Amino acid sequence: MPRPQTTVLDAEQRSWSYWFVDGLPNLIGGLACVCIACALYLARQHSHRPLVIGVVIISLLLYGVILFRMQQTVEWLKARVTYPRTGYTAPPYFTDDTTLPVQLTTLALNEREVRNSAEIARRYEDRNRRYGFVAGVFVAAVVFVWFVHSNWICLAAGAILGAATWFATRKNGRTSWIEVAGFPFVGYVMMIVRTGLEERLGAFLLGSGLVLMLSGALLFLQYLRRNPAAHA
Amino acid sequence: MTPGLQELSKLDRVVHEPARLMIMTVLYATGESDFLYVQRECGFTQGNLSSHLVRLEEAGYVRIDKTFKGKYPLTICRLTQTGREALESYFRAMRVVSSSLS
Repeated sequence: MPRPQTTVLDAEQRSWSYWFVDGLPNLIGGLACVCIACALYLARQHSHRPLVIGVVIISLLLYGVILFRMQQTVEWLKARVTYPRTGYTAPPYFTDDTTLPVQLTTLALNEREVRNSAEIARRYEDRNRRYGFVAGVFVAAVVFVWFVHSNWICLAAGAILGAATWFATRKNGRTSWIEVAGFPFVGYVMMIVRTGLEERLGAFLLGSGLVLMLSGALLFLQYLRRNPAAHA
Repeated sequence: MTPGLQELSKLDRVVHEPARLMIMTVLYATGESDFLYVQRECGFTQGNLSSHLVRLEEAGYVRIDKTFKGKYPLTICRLTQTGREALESYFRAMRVVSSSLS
């Protein structure tokens, strides 16, 4: 059955998804995971070589910058890559999901559109909640992988994280199958390799970060191919 | 004359023009967008969009600010409160017309 849609809500949904269209948020989020995984792994080596200490410090600094300045970092990159190519629109964190779709339903031309708008508004209302849910599942997966002894927990954590990603993104039409399949794959590999309990946290973060980076990089390349730089 | 048809004569002509209606709808939905984004969403040429934005700005429906994101210059367009109210009132009037004609 085709999904009901109205012009105004369609425009709102496109502008909301625009933040993710170039893959930069995934790329930077993945980079943060790889940085902290790198720092954890190298810190466990107890090496006093200046190079290792330097890499650990740089990884932690990079992780801190991304963690506390994620929005600014992504915007800084978008200002150089995305905005000159396809323009700028207000990022999703500027919109209040609890009220905006309701306001948008006022721009409906007939009863059918009003009904459609109400249905779409319900679907959009919990967008941010769904992303919060994935973040929560990610933290829970990391904690379980870190503390539970059984190797099966790695596969279970990966599968649940993949399912949560699918659940959160399917309604926005931007499901990344690399992420949905990649997280369980990371868990599966960790289970097969029988990663030691003390190395699991770093391995899970590294694997998840690489999955996010791969998904983001592919989106980024697709975006660049579809939108080549305008010649002056 | 039916009340629905009478509503047609009261429509705001600044909003009623299809290109301006598209621009206002996009800006209503997005909150704020730059010139290039609106141009791509609506499929206008630069000159066409520019002339319609000037008309909307003169009517007090759109505010245009020149700013920078990094080194990239942006022409940010936003609907003013008057613009939002004009668009909502336009859609209300069109609903009345639409229901009286069906």
